[in-house]
Amino acid sequence: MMAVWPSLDSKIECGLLVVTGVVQPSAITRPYRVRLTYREFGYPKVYVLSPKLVRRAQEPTKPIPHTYDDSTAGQERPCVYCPYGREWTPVRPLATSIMPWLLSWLVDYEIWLATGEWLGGGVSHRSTKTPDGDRGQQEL
Amino acid sequence: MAAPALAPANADLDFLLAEIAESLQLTSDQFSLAVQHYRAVADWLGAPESRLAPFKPWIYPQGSMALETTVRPRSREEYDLDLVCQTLPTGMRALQVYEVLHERLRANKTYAPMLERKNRCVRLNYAHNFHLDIIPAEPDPASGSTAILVPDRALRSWMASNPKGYVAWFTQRSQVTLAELRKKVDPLPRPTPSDEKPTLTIAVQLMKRRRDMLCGEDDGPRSIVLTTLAGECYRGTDCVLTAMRQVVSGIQQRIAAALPGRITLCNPTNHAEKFCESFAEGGRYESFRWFIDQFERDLARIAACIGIPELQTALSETFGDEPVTKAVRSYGEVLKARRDRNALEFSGAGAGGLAIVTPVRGVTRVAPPHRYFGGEGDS
Repeated sequence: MMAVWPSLDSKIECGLLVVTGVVQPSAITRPYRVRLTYREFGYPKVYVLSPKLVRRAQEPTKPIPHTYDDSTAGQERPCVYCPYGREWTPVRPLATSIMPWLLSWLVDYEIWLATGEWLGGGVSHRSTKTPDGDRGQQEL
Repeated sequence: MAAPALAPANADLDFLLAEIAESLQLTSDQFSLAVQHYRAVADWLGAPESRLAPFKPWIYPQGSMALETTVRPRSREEYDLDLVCQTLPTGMRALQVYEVLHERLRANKTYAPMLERKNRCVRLNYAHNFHLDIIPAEPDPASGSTAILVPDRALRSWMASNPKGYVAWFTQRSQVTLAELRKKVDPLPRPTPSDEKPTLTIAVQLMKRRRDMLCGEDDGPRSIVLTTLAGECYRGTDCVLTAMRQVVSGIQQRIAAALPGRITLCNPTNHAEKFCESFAEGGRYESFRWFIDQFERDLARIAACIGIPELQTALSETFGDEPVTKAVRSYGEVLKARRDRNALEFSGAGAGGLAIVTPVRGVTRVAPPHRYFGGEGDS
């Protein structure tokens, strides 16, 4: 992680990897302070710390697309990969998969905020629990 | 006014600006229709029984279609095509040449009811918000090369012009070479896709669009004025935003230097042709000065935006909602296409970043394919 993203702060505490820092997804987006967490045998999770993810002012009841915990404004976190496929497995380095996927998600998020359209594609899971379910909540 | 600090080179913003300009061009339907009418008129004027035939009429476009700086008119305004009908020297007086052209068009039953006399051209008004302006011309023996003389009805004499020279000058200023034109009927340049369009051309389109948003037809600066000033003030940058800011700054300096008078502006290839004449019309110069200052404020606002939502708002308020929304959508599609093709490069150096349009610095890698999940997704 540190080799690929040298300006992000990476540390391991009690078996939990936490990576925090500022990223600028593209030349025309805002910079974002983000966090990635990963516990061995778990699923990596990503969070957008600031600026906080927001819903569209024009449609305040519509949740942000492709987020976990999207029913509560202010609690959303991005879903950047499909956990039931083989897109991410523990042998894939987080630095070269989850991180750029998060940046891509942030660009699509800004475009969605601006236009109301989500252009990044993706898969819906309205009725399914998040991976890790309650475990994910406890780790926070 | 000091030259503005240059905005950092940002190919992603340039991509949006180029997309906006492209979506403002005449549609391919409008273009095809213009070509159809152009060819039909050229055939009629050059037909053997035409009184112009012995003088070998050569029909070619001038104006925005020749320069590829077309901007679609807003709502129900008309669009037009300017044509020159240049003949060998006829020996006739200026107004006689005009009448011969008018007479030949009137002899055609379809054209007769569409005709309208203007000061220098004969206008054909078509049904679908389009008109063709045909200017008769002869070579200018004093200036040689591509310089021409055109009849001016108000002045009852020949006036100097050089549209071909102008196109060549503008093209050279944008550092693109046009192919040699060989045919008697010059083909209209096909609209160029945005990624091949020279920076100066895009800048001119966007300036004209802003002018259309802010000014009425009779009080804004004429397109030839904006195009010429842009060509003269452009200093050869690749960045569209920087080019526009350079042009605006250059124009403001010229305005300041001319005070208390007005700037002079001629065809750069024929100084006898004064484009600044239009400033003499009541209020037009003041309106032009106001437009330039407002455009400077617009560009500064765009340059200061952070984040796509803020940028979209600023661009929409400057150039209109529809072309801007399309441009932002195109940007999202470029990102998605790169991801799907396994061609999305990124770097973790500095604050990191994806190479959507602007390449990233440092060691680059390619992000593996993935799909978003969760919530209200739709593919």
